Amino acid sequence: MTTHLLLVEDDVDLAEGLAASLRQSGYAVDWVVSGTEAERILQASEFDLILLDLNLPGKSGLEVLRGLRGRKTPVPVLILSARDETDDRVRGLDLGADDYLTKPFDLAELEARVRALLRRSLASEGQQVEVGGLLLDAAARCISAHGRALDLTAREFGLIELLMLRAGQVVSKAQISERLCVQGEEMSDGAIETLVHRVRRKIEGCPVALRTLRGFGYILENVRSA
Amino acid sequence: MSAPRSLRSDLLAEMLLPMLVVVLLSGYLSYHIGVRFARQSYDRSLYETARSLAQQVRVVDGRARIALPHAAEEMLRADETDIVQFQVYSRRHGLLAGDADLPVPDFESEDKPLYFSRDFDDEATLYGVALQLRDIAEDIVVVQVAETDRKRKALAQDVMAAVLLPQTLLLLLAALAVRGGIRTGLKPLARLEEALHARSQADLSPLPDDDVPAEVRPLTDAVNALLLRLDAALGVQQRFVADAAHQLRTPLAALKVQIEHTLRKSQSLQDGEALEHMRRSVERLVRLTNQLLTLARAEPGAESRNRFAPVDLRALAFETGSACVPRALEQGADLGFAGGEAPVRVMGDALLLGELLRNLLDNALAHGRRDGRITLGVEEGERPALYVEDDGPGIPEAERARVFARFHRVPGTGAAGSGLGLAIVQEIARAHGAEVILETPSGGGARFRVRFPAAAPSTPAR
Repeated sequence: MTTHLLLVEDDVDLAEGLAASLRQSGYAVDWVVSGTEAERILQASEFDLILLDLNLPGKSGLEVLRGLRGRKTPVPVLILSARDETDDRVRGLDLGADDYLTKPFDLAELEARVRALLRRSLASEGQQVEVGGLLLDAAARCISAHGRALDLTAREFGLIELLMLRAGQVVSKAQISERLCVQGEEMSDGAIETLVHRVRRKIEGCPVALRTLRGFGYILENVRSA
Repeated sequence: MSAPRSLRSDLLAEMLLPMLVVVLLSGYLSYHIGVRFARQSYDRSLYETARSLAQQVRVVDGRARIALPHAAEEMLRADETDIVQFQVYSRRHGLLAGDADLPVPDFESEDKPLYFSRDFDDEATLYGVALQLRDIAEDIVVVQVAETDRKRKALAQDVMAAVLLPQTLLLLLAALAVRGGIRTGLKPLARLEEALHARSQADLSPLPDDDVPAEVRPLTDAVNALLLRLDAALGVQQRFVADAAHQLRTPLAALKVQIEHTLRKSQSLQDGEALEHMRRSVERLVRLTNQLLTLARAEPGAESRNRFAPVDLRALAFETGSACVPRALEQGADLGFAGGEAPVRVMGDALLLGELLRNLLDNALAHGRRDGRITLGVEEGERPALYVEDDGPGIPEAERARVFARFHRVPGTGAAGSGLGLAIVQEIARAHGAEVILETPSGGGARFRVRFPAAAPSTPAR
């Protein structure tokens, strides 16, 4: 199934370059140049993700976003903006955007964010997500590698799920503790380190690396087969 | 150019000159009045002497005579300082007693004593009194007593000294009082001067004018009006640079995406190489644009001050460092975080502080060892601090002062950069009242520590 993206961007040169790159990466891309057109196409069709410029002619990006969330549409939204004021970012995220990227950005960075957003969106819809040979089925609470389900405890599953949904991004020990514990409980640093050690052994052999970052936490990375 | 005029000496001169004139005038008058009274009392005593001499004139044998014993004449002439002369003269019979060389004066009035003065010798003047005795045996007898003026001159000098001494003292006291008064009066000016000297270039707030005297108020008002206009002009300039940088971002984004997309599609090695050059150039252009925007934002002015809010340095450092991790991993660098769990709060602009950290991290990634160890740290305490430490070659002593200069690049380092990174760090730190300290860790390398000022007592630490 092709992933369908909507690009809302009024700069023709940027939009065409972006659309061409994303199409080359295997996405289906619809492109509109104004907020009003975005509203119209969103009424007619469904998308897996929206790339939204804020500074649009007619209806602004924030207004489009407000309308979208007002209709309780859960589609992930990645804001692309030339402005990096904290206020804009906070307002965008408050209105329900899932991520915020300041222009000019790296194509690779944009695609990584798109992938991360799509992974989370897929997982929340109960669909399968793949990172470095690991296949996550959130609905079945199962992770498989090389076609075989891994034998995992609840905490091990929770940790790998968290790392996979945030692949390529730093996951702190505080985030792990928050995710794996019920409210009021807390995991010690030692307990987390033991858990990570066990998980690392279980995913051995997959083209994926679970790195320890001094003071920061952990990161799950695709290992390029180069 | 001539030396600047001194308000103090101007005031002193303008007050003391009239005072000097007044003192001299009053001295002159007092002296003359004093001398007049003194002369009157000396004249009186001469008159008394002449009267007692006149009483000695008797009519004997039908003619006027005077019997003056030798002792009496001696007493008459006895004077320590002055020469005393006298004469008793009959119009009919000539000299009766005394000095012959005293000329007989002409009387204007018949009854009144006649006071006179005439030159005695080169130095002295003779002052005297003459009386006329009528109806003495149908004769007229003239009695004269005169004395030189040495005593009178001495007295005049005494009077002069007695007048001038207190007047001079008065003048000196007045000068001191005026000087003190001027100093006190100019104190608000001195305080203004101190306030202006002590202020940083970033501070364009109005001067305090609560205790400024009314005369200086127009000056502080004018300075404050100028500061206000300067602040507004700086704001306009900052907004212009910020707007220009924002406007540049979209076309730069388009250029970057187009180049990266073409680079991906490109099959030919030659095209690939050219595109790679283009990509690197755009990369630098993007960076420079962002840095200019940051510099404009960090510059002093009302705009930047208004953005200050409580910032958690720990969260900010963790977030900024996390975003930098993938790039560090790509370079093989070991980027670590050192800091507690508790928030470390300062007042500041989160966006600028994030930019400061990004620049320090970029600097460490560019100049540290290829697969070196970089640590980003946060320290709590009275003066919170951020630091970024690498284990690279460090910065030579000779370069340390210059690394913060705009567009300066340490010679011999191959890394590409604009030379703006550390200047931005410095500028942002300055806008927050923080200092940037360059240290050498025990194991070598470089550590940039940004030390924030102690929290103001007005903002309670939460």
